[in-house]
Amino acid sequence: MIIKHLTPDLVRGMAHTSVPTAEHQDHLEVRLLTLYITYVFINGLIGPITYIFQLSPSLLFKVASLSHAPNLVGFMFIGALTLATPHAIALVFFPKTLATRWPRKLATLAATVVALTWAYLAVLALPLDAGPLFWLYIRQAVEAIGLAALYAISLNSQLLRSIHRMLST
Amino acid sequence: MKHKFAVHALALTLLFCMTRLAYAATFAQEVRGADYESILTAAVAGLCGGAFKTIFTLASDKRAVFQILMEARRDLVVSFLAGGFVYLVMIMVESKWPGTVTREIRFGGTLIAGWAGSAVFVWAARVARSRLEAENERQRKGVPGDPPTSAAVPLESK
Repeated sequence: MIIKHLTPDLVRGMAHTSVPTAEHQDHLEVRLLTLYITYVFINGLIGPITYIFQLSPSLLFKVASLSHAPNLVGFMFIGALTLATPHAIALVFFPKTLATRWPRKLATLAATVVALTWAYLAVLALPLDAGPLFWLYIRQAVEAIGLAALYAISLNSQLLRSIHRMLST
Repeated sequence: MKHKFAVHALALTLLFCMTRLAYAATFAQEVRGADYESILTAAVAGLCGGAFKTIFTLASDKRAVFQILMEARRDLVVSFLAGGFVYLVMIMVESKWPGTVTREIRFGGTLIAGWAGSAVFVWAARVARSRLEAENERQRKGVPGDPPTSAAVPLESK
């Protein structure tokens, strides 16, 4: 980027600002993206929970009530939301403790539970002959599996790093 | 890859049998060409089981994964074979006792099979071996077997 000339305002402003290095910027962007992904994940749980427990005319309520166990699908979503909460709290309020493994493990479990629930919903929707509804729910399940894989790869890389540290010392 | 020949042979068998399996799973052949519903159910559950296996292996403290894609591929192939095997067993059960295998049982069964992977084949081999040993023991003791369900009738020649 070519800057034509420096104004006095620019110089005075730069004296008071801390310029992030490229590495620091990468770190910051990864942290922001992780925050945003976790927000999207939790947002995508609140939607189905509201549809199933509050909006009985909705299609999702009708599909979920085809299950033999009433409210099973809704409570699976609520359980996943509970499991994902510690990781979200750590991300927002305690970013120094992100090396702790159990919140990420719980988040991985939450994402797999969500994937399982969407797959189960897709299977429940099959006999309705509702066209692409099966594939819509499968899409959600694949998304959740991808998120679980992200968390799991993070945990595995941390494990590899600690093994490497033990090897090098 | 371990057991390369067995894996390829089983995968090819499943591939060529898939439409036959679909026809065998239904009695409504005039209404619909095939029971793709149960196949889709089983496929979704089995692949979920395989993916969950990879994810939990990655997340656990007890195993370090060095090549993630290879591990995922192995888990998916094994879950495909194990799920297909369990699906076949479920068709057998359904044809012997109709109405036993519901949607939920099919989903859960193939999910567990995809998760368990090659342990399914070990379990099946153990069951078969114990059945054979029991049969051998029965034969050795000289216990008379079950009466035949049908027999040929010698007809007079005119």
